[in-house]
Amino acid sequence: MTKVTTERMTRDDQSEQRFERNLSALPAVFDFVNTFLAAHRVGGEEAYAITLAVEELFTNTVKYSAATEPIHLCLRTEGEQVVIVFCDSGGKPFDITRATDVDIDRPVGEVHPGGLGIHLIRCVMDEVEYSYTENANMITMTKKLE
Amino acid sequence: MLEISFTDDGHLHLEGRFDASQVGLAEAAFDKIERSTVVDFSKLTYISSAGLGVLVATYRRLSETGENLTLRHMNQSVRNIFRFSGLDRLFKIE
Repeated sequence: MTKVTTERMTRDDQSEQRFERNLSALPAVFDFVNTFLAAHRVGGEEAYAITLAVEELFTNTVKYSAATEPIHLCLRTEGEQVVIVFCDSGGKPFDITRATDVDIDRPVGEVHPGGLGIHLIRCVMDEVEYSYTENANMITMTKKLE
Repeated sequence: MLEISFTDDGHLHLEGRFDASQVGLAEAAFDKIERSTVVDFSKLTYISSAGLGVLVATYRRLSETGENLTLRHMNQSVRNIFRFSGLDRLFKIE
C-alpha cells in the first residue's frame, strides 16, 4: 500500500500490482497510477506524462504480445523522480528503445496513428531502458520531477 | 470517463479523458459526423494515441468528401500531444 506523505518526495516509496492482460483492466491501471501520483503529490504535466506512458505501454503489450501472464507494474520514487517498471512476462523479446520511430513529418495523406504510442513515450519520459531477463520484457521509464 | 455531446450548432463537445478504454464510445459518436465539424476540447483533460486514432480515422473519412474537423480550445497538455505526434499540422487547431 502506498504511504501518503504530507510533502512530495519526503521518502522513497514503491507500489506494485499485477493486472490482467486485457484492455478491460485499463481503468484499474489508471486507478493504481492515479492513487500513487496523488499520494506523492505529483500532478500537472508530470502526472499526465506518467499516466500516458503507462497507458501506451499497457495497450501496446495487450495488443501485440502473445503472452498470457498478468502484466506487472511497479511505480517508485527515487529522490526527485518517478520510476516506472513494466514487466511483460512470457512475451517474445521486443526492445521498444530500438523500435523504428514514426515519421511525424510524413505527408498528410500518409498519416495514421500506428506506432504513435512508443513515439509519445519517448517524448514525455526522460529515460526509457529495456532489458530481457528470465523470459520477461522489462521496460524501465523515468520521469524527473521539477 | 469520456462524455461526448453534440450541441444545437452541430459542434461536438468532449469532456473528461479520451483514453483507450473510451475508443468504442468515441467511435460510435464520431461515426455520426458526415460534414465539417468543430470539436470542442475545452473540457477534455487527457488524450492518448488511442484518442488520436479516432480523430485521424474521422479526418481521413471526412477528407474523402472534402470535409474536415476543426479542433478548438484544447488545453496545453493535450495540445502538446498533438504537437509531439505531428498531428498539429494535420488538423486545424484554434
